[in-house]
Amino acid sequence: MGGRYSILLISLVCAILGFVLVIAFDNEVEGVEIGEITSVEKIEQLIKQRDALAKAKTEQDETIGRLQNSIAGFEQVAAERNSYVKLIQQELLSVRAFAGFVPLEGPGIEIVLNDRKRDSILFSNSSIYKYFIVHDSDLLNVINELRGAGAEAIAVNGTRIMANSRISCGGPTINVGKYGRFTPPFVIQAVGDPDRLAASFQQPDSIYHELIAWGLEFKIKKVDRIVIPRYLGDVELKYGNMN
Amino acid sequence: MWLPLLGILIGVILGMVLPVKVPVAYSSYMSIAVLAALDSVFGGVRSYLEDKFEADVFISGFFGNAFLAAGLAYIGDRLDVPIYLAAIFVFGSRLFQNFALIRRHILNMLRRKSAVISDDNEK
Repeated sequence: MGGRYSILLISLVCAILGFVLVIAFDNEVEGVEIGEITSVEKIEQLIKQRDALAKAKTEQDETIGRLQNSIAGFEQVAAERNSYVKLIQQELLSVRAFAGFVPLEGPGIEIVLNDRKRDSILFSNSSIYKYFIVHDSDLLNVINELRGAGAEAIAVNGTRIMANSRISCGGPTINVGKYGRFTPPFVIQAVGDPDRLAASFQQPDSIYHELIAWGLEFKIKKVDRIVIPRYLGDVELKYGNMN
Repeated sequence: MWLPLLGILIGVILGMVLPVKVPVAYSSYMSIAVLAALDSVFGGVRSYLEDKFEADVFISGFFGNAFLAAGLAYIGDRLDVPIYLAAIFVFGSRLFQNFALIRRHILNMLRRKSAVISDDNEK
């Protein structure tokens, strides 16, 4: 066997090796630079950013709480002066609780909604990937069913669902309300009769069966005591007038 | 002697120029392809140094091993059992073995050379 010929063959396989190496290293998903996301530096930067934002948020939440307390104090003073005002204050409290401006506590259920875990079925059917993930419409359906079963207050990942809360698609996230941008898993908490809320998902036309059939995670837990946080944010009527 | 290195360079350039992308889901297949190619190169260099190089064995070994390893990885994916680890294990251990033999050959060659040189100096 000629030495020159064998070296040529080895070089050919070397070329294939180089080619495969480059492809293996240069492994980026469409539009997303995996190396950039997973580099330690980037992660530390993001963690720092998150901590700073969380700190700013707690400070602002405290401010909201302080202002809320002073308003309650004024109302209390006014109510003590006048029994008529006292009636109005009681009415106001119940309306606020219903509208979502007060934290609500009571028995209820907690639902965890998550995408299908990455397994061979998902990878071999990646063209129908959209069926294996939680969509805004799924979340909306679940919340609607909770409302149908008599839920008195609902929160998604700690965000109170208000009468004007939107739930819409935000690409890889789901927009909840004015400020929420959430990725799976979604934790949906609802105050109401735990048995009734849980049973509503056993109805044959429930979204539960569809999501379970696609292998999504849908866990329902009955809880004796659950606290639904109040709505945090501003509300103002710009165009509507009260007559 | 420099031809294999040139081959790697050509492969790298081709890989950079050609718009070939492999989905993340198949990254385990890529690692096996890399290992199969590395194994073949080391095995080829070893047999070349031992003067036992056979082109048909080399080429059939390269493609056969690559396809067998990829097939094992595929079956493993289907069965949810990481069978491709078997391929990685075999390729990996053989890589080290081949590298040890190559090292010994090269060191022996160097020793012989220096012995010849010292012989010349003594004369």
